[in-house]
Amino acid sequence: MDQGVGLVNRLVAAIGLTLLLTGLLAGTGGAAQTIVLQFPSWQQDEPGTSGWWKDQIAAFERAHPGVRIEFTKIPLAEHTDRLIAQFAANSPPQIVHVPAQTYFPFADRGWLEPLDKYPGIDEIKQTYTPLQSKTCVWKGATDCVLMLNYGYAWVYNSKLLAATGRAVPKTPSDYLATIAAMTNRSQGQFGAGIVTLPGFNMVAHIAVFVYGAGGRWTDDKGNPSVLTPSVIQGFKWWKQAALSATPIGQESGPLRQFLIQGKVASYNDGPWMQGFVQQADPSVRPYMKAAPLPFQATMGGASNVIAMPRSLPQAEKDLVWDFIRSGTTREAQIRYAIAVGAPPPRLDATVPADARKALPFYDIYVDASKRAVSWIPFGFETKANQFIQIVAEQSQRMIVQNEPVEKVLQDLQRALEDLKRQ
Amino acid sequence: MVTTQAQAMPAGSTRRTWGRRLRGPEAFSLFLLAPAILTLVFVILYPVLTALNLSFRKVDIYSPGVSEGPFTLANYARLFASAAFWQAVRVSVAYVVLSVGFALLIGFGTALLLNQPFRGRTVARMLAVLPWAVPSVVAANIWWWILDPSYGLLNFVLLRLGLVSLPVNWVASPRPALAAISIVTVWKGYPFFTVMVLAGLQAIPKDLYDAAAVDGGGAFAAFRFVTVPGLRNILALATLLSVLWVFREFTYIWVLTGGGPVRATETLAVMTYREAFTFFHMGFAAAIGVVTLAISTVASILFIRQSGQEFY
Amino acid sequence: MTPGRRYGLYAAVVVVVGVLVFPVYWMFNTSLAPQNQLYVYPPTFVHPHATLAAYTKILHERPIGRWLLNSLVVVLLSGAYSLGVGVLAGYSLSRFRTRGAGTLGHLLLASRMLPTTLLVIPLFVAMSTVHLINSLWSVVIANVTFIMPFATWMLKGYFDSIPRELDEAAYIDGSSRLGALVRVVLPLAAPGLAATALYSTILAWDEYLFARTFLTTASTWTISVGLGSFRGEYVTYWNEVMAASLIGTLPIILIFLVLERQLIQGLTAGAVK
Repeated sequence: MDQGVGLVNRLVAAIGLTLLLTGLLAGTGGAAQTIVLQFPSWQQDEPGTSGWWKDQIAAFERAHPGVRIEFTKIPLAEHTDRLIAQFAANSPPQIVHVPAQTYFPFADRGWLEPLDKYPGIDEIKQTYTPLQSKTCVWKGATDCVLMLNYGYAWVYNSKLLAATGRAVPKTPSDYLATIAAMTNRSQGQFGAGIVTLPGFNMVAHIAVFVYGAGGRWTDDKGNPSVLTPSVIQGFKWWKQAALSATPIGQESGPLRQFLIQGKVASYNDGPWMQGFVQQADPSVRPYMKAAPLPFQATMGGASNVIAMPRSLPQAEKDLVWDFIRSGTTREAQIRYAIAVGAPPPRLDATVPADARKALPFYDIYVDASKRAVSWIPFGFETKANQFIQIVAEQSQRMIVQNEPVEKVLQDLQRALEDLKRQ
Repeated sequence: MVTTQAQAMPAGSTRRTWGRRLRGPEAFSLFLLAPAILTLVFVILYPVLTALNLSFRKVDIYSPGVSEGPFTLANYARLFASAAFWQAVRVSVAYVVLSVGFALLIGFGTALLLNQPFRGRTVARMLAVLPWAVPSVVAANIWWWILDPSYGLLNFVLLRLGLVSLPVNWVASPRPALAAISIVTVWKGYPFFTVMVLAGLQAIPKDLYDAAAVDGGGAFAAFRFVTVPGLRNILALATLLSVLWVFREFTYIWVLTGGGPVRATETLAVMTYREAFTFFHMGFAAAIGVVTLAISTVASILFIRQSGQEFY
Repeated sequence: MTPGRRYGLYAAVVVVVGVLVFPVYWMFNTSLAPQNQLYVYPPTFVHPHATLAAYTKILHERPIGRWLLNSLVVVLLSGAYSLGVGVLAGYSLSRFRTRGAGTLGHLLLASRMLPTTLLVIPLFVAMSTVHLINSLWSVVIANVTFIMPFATWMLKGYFDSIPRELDEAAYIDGSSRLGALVRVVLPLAAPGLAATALYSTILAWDEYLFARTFLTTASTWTISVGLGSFRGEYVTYWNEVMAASLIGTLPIILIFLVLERQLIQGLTAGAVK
């Protein structure tokens, strides 16, 4: 049984190797005296913003030897859920970056460090758009810094539009007819890319239509109001657009990909699209254009915010604050505006004219962000992630099972009332 | 612990003194078992009791230091009244039946084929069970791509063969989505049946087939009266293990459909996880999990009784 | 066998095995696709301009090496523990019939029925309390919950197939009970140990649920979690997803091909009596 003995030896060797490896890992962990600041974000690979973040991180690491920022990718769809679990487990990342829509659950539970006592906060309060205090002040304390306020625009392929003989749509019905005209399912051509897989992006895309029709998720008292005529109208537009002009069941990734390959003719999205269309096929890129959304209101508002956990040691808090603050200077904000292709939250950061010329959609997005209406569900701020899940799940019935809008909205209203009571 | 063979104590242990007992087989056996029992008490029994306790509390988001609240049956009341729960039960049953059924058929079929003598059989066997070694997440990724509605391989094949006239929206329509998760599960699950059946076939004495041939039966009679009865026990065991395995499956569904669309692929396992880690209703989620555990326990006991087999 | 039947058999084997293994080829094929050949219809079965660009890009942009290393650590630690405990318990279950065996039997059976999505909730709570969230140890411990029962079951089957007369011969030679296990039985059970080690490796490498829940930052992820994180919001480049998937599969496939026979013997030894 020599073979048997050999195998035992190999097993023993494997166990020995394990111990050695773990020892090594533990050793490297202890030997290097670096402080690592975790920074999970969905923007880690977002064209435009990711480059700006990486520059900020590099500059910060140069200025703080022995400190490293670990900038890692988490898909937006699971980002908030993961963060909540991390906070609940008392092991949050040092740098908290969340969409403005789902920031409140963190603030409300007292998980975030109030920033009012940190140096330089007054400058931010004075120079930033009023949306900063509207979004980031929760229960009297400033808990975050606004990264971006935005408005959506209609990004389209002018060649495919011209082929239909139509002009850029100016009204909702015109829009619906145009995207339908650009669709040819049997050829794999679609007039619009609309996210129909449940998650954050799907609800943002619904909000384009619902808020565009003048609807609101909730009334003035913060109670759900999805049975108003304008919300019903918005959902009807959304349903018609999705059923007539989009490949059903796609997340934003493939849809944006189809856009820059010329298979999807238009896409409703924020200013980051400008960075993205730079990656388009050479045959498509010259035709990528943007226009204002043809609705009475433009969806947008506060986009995303940055914050830090209250539970960090003070030394780490000071480091994280240095990092946050370094992105709020006038110079950094101008670079941000150029990277994102949209006006930054700091109002005195104006993009120089020559840099502006290189950003073809800039004026459209400036205009959109001025007109934008925030789709944060007023009254449901602290349950924003559940709110989004419920809206997405119910709405999906309209397109997957082709259920009537009114019927689904009645169920949605009930589900949201349940959520309110919980 | 039920085993089939008689367990002979080593000779010489009839006269027992305390000292002997400590060094005797009983003590030695306990010494060997202790680490395993302690481990399982620690990582299985204690967590299950914690979960049971959670299921009777209204714990919405568990944060260490937050008090657990008073005893309540509210989670169970809410559970049995919720349409989503009964939907999840139906989805679980459909998913288990589809997946285990087809895995059994394909596994059985490949085993019979690969039991034939031919050159290169070893290589063929190795390849046939290869999906087994493919990590679950990778399997989900591969099939996600194959099932892509616009550019996926499967729709291309189906359209080319004329089996469908329009591309199937695999992940975004309810019935195809259930089929999609079952396809991945079958692909990962059939090799287990192949392996078990092959082993079972080798254990059937050759003279039984000779006897069947002498009796004048054809190949079918041999299959019906020798192969099937000979494999009965091993198929029962493999089926039970697969059912338990598929019933608690999470990975393929989570990666491929996340339980959607419109909960069409939300099994009890996925519902438990979603309630716990998306909605953070830990108590409610624990209640779903406890009911799931009860279902699989009762089903296993019935199955074991029915088949008259002994496991463990 | 007539030649006709033989060719028929070969054809059947090629078709059946070909179809079943085709998804693995498809992973490989897509991973070699150039970026602009991904979303084309009809699909390309052999890429004329195959490229390794996806591999270089993915290795550069995602910490795949780190994920592989994390998985390796998890595999080795949870496997070593499960095997160590499983050898002792499996031997005891095979050779002695005691009350402890009954207790263990019930626990083992329970572990088979226990939904992992239930187990993950109390484990998450416990790991939070002891500050093991985002530590590989949390996954190592959680993996023991299902690897150890399997290891024990497989090893018991193997020990059953080793004649107990050998143990007794060792006693007569003056060996202690533990000595008999280590010096006589274990070497004979080596193929079984190898099979169990391999199966433990497959299970731990494969594990997704616990790792996804407990490991919160990308640098601590195991390969499973990493490969499950490719649902892109900006782009989904299938060649990159498939390249990464292939990298994450290769180690397991290689071990599998080398040790497959032992694995199958080990798995079925307990079932075929």
